[in-house]
Amino acid sequence: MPQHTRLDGGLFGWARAHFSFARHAAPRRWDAREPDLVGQLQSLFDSARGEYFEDGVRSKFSNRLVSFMEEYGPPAVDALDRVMMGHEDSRVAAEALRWIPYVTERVAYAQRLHLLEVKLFDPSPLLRGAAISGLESLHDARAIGTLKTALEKERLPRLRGNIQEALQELEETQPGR
Amino acid sequence: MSLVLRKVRGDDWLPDVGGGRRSDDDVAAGHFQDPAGVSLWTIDPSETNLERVIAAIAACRDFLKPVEYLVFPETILAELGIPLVVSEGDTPDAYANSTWHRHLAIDSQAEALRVVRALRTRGAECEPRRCPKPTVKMLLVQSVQSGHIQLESLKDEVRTIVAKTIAQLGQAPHS
Repeated sequence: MPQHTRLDGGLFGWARAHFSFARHAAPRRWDAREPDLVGQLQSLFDSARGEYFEDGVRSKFSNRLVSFMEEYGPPAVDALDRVMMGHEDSRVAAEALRWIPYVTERVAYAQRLHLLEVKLFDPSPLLRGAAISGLESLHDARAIGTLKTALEKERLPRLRGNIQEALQELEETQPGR
Repeated sequence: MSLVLRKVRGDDWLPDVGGGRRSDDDVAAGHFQDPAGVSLWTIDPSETNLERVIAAIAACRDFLKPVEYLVFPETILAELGIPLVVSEGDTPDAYANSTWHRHLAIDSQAEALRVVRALRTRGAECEPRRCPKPTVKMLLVQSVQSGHIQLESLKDEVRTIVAKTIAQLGQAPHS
């Protein structure tokens, strides 16, 4: 059975119950004057199909994504979450998640941290891996608890190893150690 | 037996990465397709040049990150009839570029898939390896201190971290 199917009811349901974007923003009524953020992001994702991504290296896609997020702010994060869930190429969605830590303008730090924490429990292993990488980039000790929960629930050895690595780095660099 | 290194993203080797929309081999094959030629490095059988090559790869990056890579016997490519071509690398380590860099002459998705499937048949031997971020940082420090890489050639964030680490170690980099 594919790993992501098995996780749908368990991990994914658990994450949905524990993390809700409603905590950060009340549901808004759609306004026809607003830009179609989901549509624009969808196009951006589509244009990145086939692009080669390398860890720690800016790409055409990452530059455009970070600019987009910084232009539109918090509503763009909600739109990104929707596009990531539905996009055909999870490679592109994972790449988007890896660059969330580098969106430093207009999107609150707490919102970026929250998005990455939620994705630690996503059904897609690529998105979970990207969330671990993103949290490693944020280097915030507040993520330790969520990473420990993710470690308990993660079944893939490679991702478990990556979580342990991230935890080790965060715990070693905590003040007072 | 000579070995070959290809930098990859380890997550692309996870089970079910295609999410039912693409095959897992298809996702992994993306690492063996590049119109400009797929960059590889020769690694000696005892892997004595491995750390220097990892540092050379990390030296090209905008941010300090773990380096993930495959190491596999060169014979796998020979058996598939895919030639390794000597070519100059494009990293800040000039010696590594001219001595160990190669590129793979792959011109189709089908050939890239053949490489991935051949690697998968080898099992754990050809699974991606990972050099963690703290180790990557120290390999970069070593390369700068030994003069293999000039500190000035590193990108801003990586240069700052490496320079800070060297200062903490109390040793001046080679100029």
